[in-house]
Amino acid sequence: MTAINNPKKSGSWENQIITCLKILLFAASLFILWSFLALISSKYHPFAGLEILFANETPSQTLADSLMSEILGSYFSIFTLVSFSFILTSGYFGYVRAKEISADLFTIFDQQKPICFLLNRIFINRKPKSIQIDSGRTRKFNHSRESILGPAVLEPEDPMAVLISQPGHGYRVLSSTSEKLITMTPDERLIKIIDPGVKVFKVMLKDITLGDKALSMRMDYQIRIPRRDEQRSNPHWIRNFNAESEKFQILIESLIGSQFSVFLKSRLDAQEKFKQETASEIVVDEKKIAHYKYTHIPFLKSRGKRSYSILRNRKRLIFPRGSMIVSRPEEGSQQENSNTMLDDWMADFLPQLKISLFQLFGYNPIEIINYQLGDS
Amino acid sequence: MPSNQSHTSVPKRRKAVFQFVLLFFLFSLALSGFPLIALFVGFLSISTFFLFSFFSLRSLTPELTGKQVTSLISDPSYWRNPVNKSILNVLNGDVSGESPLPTQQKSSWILHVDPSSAAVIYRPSIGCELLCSGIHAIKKDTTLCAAFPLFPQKVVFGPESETSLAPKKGGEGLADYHARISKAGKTAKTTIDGITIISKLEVFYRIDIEKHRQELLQLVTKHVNQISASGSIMTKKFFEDQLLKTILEEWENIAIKKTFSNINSSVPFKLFQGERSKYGLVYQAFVREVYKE
Repeated sequence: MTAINNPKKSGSWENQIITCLKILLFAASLFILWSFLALISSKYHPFAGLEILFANETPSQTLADSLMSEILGSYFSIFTLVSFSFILTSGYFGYVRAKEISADLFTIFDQQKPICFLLNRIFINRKPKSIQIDSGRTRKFNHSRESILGPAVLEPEDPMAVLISQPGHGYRVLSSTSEKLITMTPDERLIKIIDPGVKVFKVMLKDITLGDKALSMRMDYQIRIPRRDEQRSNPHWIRNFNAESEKFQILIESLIGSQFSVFLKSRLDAQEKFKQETASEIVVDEKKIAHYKYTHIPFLKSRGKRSYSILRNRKRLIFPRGSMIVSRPEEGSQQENSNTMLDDWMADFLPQLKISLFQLFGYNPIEIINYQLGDS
Repeated sequence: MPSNQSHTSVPKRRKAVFQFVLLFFLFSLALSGFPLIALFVGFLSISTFFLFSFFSLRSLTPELTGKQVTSLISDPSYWRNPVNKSILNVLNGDVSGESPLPTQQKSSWILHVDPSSAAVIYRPSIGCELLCSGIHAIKKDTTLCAAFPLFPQKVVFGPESETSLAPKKGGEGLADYHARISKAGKTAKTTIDGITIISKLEVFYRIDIEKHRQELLQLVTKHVNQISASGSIMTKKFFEDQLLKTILEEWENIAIKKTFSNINSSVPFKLFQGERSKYGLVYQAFVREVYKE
């Protein structure tokens, strides 16, 4: 979990003073503009004819009254008020136009109101309200073009990972458990939510050599979050994370399925060929056996004892071993041999799969948690 | 464009009324003998509009640089109501929106490319240029000629299943039947024993703009005139068609050297070991099924 904590404490007195000063500065700017228009009004008297119609003059008694009346008359003259309201309305329409353009590029999350968000960013320097995200909202979020603009604090109900864009600095992924918050700094934008939960994938293969049976593989995996240094050096993960997560998952499983089918077919064919050849040959050709030992390690491992254990163990280091459950209905040493054979097949398959996934995705996109290979 | 009409129609109407009333006020002021004051108030209104636009845009869209915001709001199209025409999004490799494609834009426009996509623009003076993730201010007379996804894709060439090659069904139209058969029959090849086989080819590919950027640009440049003339752009379908041609050549080389039973008994298999690349596409192909014609 890598979440950035907002260094600014909410409600601190410095922030309150900054907020007050910002509001005062803005109000002062508006007052200066208003005064400037009042000055023009008092000097040139535009729309003086109209003002006579609305005038309700009472004879001034003192100099102060007269002065006050003139000043107020200038500030609240038709010209001053109308011009001032036109200028303010222009500002409002400027904001509306900007909001339209911004919405054409990104849609802001429905819990973030653009005007409140804007005022909050300009004037109020306080910690943003927390946004709660559950799995239902995640799905909706990922299918729409919505994005969450920082500063924001996310309260994930389930463990999740998020793809955040940092203008000028690329992208980063934060993963979080449900207890921890995700804090986004100003100008950051959350563009995708990724489910890092364990996914289960099953594939079944039928072949002539298996008769009525089918061989199945179950794989439990999860989407791998690249390390910090990998995030910086490899651009491929961003593209996959930004794509729809369902598509990403389907693609991974489809490639595993295809790769597994091809692998299993080649192993079954080799096994069948060897069976046929050894059955027909009365005298065992030592050279041929050596060749098959070399090319079909798992098959021979079930017979050939320890000679390849070093190689097999080395291969296993690439992936976690996982649990192997084989339900081949054989007993005793045959059952044991069969288990070892399937175990070895998986040890051979996983590095091949890793290469294939790497070639397609440009990085290793998954972490295999567990796998089972057996009959069904 | 994604912004819907009903959402923006009320502010547009309000804005039109406001513009009319403001102009009426300014003309009245000018005609009553204060043209300079009218000019001054008009200038203040326009300045406030731009100032608020600038700050709002910068705050709501921090991805836009100050220069981009300035160029956007200083463009005359910013004042026009259908502002949508000046912004185009490329999301997951697709150009989103209903607006006509800016194949012949006369004014400058904004191209927003999401992190999983890339786009190619064409300027007669410069040629083709590849644009990656980000918001790009595009000069006038620049054509968008390609938009495609950068994340891996899966495509099936040939029949999806045996039913794709089935004879014409009862309710099926003749055009639909021919389309189905011609799509499924794209991978038909004749083996060494003279049998025509149709294979289901499953291809996984990715457009690699890091290693094969030049190849990709060469391909796009080669077809840019043809695409511009048709008023369309190159999408992932275009790249898949190029991929199909390449893979069919490789498939033919294998098919003509083997008998039907050789091929049929070894299915499924990988068309070649490792990965291949052509035209900037990195791909892996699997022969999943083989059918007799």
